[in-house]
Amino acid sequence: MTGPRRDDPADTPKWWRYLRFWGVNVGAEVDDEISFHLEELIGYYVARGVPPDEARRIATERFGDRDHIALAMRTLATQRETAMQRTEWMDSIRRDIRYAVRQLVNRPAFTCVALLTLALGIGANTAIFSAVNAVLLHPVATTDIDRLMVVRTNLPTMNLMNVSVGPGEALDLMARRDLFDAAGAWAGRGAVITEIGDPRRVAVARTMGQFFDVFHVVPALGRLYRPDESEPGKERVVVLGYSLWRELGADRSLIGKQITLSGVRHEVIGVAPESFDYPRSTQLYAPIALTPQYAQNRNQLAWNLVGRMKTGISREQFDAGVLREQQRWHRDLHYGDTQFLSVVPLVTMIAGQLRPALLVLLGAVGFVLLIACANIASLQLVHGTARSRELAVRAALGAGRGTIVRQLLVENFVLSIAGGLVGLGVGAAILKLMAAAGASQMPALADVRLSAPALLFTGIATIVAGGLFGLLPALRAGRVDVQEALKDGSGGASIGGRRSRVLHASVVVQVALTLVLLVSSGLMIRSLRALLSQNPGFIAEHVTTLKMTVTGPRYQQAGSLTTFYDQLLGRLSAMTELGDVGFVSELPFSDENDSSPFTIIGRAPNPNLPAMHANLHTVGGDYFKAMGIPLLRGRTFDKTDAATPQQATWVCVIDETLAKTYFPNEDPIGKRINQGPDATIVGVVGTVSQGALGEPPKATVYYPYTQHAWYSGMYVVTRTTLPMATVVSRVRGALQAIDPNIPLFSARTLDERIAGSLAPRRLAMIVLTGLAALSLGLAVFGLYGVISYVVTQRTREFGIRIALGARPADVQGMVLRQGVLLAFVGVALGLAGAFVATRALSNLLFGISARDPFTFIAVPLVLAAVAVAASYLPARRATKADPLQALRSS
Amino acid sequence: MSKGVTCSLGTLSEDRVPPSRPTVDLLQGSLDVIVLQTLSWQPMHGFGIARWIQRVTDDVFQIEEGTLYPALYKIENKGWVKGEWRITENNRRAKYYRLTAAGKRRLAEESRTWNLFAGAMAKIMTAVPTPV
Repeated sequence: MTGPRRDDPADTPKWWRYLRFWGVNVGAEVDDEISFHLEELIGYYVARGVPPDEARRIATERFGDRDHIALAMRTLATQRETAMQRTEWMDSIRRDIRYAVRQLVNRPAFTCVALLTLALGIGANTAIFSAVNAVLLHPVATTDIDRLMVVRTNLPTMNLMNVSVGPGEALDLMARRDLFDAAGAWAGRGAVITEIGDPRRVAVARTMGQFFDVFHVVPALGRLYRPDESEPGKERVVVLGYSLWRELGADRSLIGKQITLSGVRHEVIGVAPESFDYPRSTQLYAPIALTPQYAQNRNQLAWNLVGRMKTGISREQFDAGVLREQQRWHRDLHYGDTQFLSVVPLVTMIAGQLRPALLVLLGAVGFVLLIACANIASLQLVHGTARSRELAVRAALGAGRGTIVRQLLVENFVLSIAGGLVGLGVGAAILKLMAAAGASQMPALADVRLSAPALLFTGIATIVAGGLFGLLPALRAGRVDVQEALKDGSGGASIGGRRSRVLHASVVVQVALTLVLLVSSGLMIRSLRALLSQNPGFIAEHVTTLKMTVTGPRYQQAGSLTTFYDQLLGRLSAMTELGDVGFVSELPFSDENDSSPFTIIGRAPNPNLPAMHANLHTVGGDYFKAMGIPLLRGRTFDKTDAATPQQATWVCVIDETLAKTYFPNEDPIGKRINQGPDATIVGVVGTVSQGALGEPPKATVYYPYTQHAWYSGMYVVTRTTLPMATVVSRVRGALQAIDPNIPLFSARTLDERIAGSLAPRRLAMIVLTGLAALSLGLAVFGLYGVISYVVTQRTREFGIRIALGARPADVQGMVLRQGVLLAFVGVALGLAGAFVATRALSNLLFGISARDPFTFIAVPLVLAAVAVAASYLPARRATKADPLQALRSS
Repeated sequence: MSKGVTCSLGTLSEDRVPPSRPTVDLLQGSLDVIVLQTLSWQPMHGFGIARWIQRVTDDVFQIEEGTLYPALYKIENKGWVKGEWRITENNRRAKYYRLTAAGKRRLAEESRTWNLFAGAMAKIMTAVPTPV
């Protein structure tokens, strides 16, 4: 056992080298090692006088089970090989990454622009995709949400479109087993619960039918009620919403407890799961008692019918089935000709106003993604050409094409990962912005989280775009003429015809898409301004509003509500610091409204005109003064309009719209109308926007609470400069002195309520403007970069021109012309695109057309000016080309 | 050393003769320590390691020599030894194993543990009964 000597390649048999060609040949090595051992062992015995056959037998026995041992060795050796390869691979990747990071750090300008571009592209897209996914595609946690349909009714003559159905209608539809796997209906209302902690007001969904089955709800605790628990006598059960259950202490023993819901005792039988939040923000679910006469009712349009389409039927078959039901009602129940049913997918229904805004934003971020990809591509092209010298050096030093391609891929990858990380921040910021802009009106937005698939999708899109164009120089590098590239001191091969075309195209695309975004955001800004300049008919400044619900056994008897409101009004009016104080049953911009048909006493209905229809609101105190609604004729209500059973003395105040529409050439004062009870018109006040700024005005009638004393929910309205908290505490104090069980909630200034109604538009406007501004930045960077690059490439040419007598202004003009030309082609294409694209905006616009001339002239001018400025800087540099330098280097 | 060689000669020829000779089955894991200790003198191939164990232990350990190899591969995977193909003095290719720095550290740890264990066992086996 003397010292071994090194393996001599000349001794290695050819086959061995061949076997090792594709890495270590594990099997051959194992066999060699075992054979060596056995042969040595046999030799050992033979040397000691054992006959060869016997020696072989002993050696084999002594060695053990050869096959078994060889298998174990092969397994272990393979493991080692794999681990080694992995380590080597990891090492080389780590080296590549380190090199890539160094390269990127050495080029801060390129890196910053690329990072920002990626972050914007990835972040904005992820945010909007996430919002669309959460709000438009999966607003409720259930399976196959696309098969959930809502049936709505429409009464065009009463200006009631897309509204809920009556209980009888809901029952008829739910009975259609040929249309639904499961169907249910709900009606939302507020109620006060007592006996668990303090009295509190909760949002209750009264349901009928298989409401929970529609959504495949599995209770978090206890059980859900069954359809037959709508039968009178069985309906005294409730299911708590998860959020309410948690507010009540998340106590399992609540199941089986009795609570009082608006004065009636109910048993808590279950808790809905946390994921189930439909109708949104519902705190309590309870079945409705279907008395025979209520089941016949087809007028109380309060029931939202939602059902799961029967398995196997198509949307067309479903719609046809609903139509047959409608025809049956027309035939058997003598429905008015104009009333018709419509089917809306639940997802569309829930997204509501948010839908157009989100779809517009979805389109916008698509543009941003394209701009980002174009930008990255042109960056890579410009940059890759500038790098061909570096790549040539590496090729000269022995780097193969594969190595260089891998290096560039790793560089792109590092850039994309970093961009993706920054993009996560950008996306989260955009979502926050959206939630802040729309939270009051659209609570759905507040819960949106960045979705992983969206991040992955946009990340891959940008990586592919970057990688594709990043690879062009790499592929070239493989072919690059090393000597040529190194000899050329100016730094690399000059721009080729095809490459410059790609560069120009990318600039044109960026400018064009940016123009579309700028025009869209311009239209949104202008229409929001137009909306805000609309007169709502009242003066919103300094108006604080709160809602109270007056319920409980003590308000069951006649006159008790009036007494309550009298007392409260007396106390509130005594607090002079509250300013003008009044009540109203349905506050403008509160999403509440009440309307019904009316007739004018002594005037025959005109069969040629649609039925007369008007909003009706009950008011008290100095409501008109507090709101700043002007009195145009006659008087408002006063102490003489007392509670009296004699309807002959009942009064009302109408608005200007009703006066102009139905009393065009006469004085309405003293005329009598009937909208329920009769009432004499005593005054005319200004028209008020009830639900949205800029909506067509609707006729409205106001009644004094003293004579319409059946409203248990009222908004308190005060015109005061006191802070909100002070107002709330004063009003609460007054309420508590009268009845401590009355909850006060929804404290908001009138300005906030108006802002809430504009939320979807404001959201679209803010996000669009942000995206447009960022795109503008990217496009300017892109243009600047390309022009700068062209100038660098042509420095020698410019030097020679100047040497030959060209004036600097000529050279500058040449460069500027190129930039301006690119910008103008982009603007022209963008204008054409904007003409088409802004049509999608039309239902978000107000007061201006989707082809608003001002926007379509001003925005392109601004963009063109910015583009010229972006090419001016490099153009100036071109004039600095040194003729001597140029001539010498050639 | 030369005494060991003659000794092993005798025992080897005896290994199929006297069944009465006391032998010890190797404990799982102790083979690793033996191999590491063996390689601490010089790099060796598997056959050499087998001979060395046989000689030093007077053939007390009856091992199937083949099982040395999976053990060697295992500790090579752990990085304690490194295998290299070389040419022996008889001009044959053989895989030599040498102890790595990690292997030396491991051996030091193992021998400390073994000494502790052996000392404790010795005390137990030689203890005399004492009143508690």
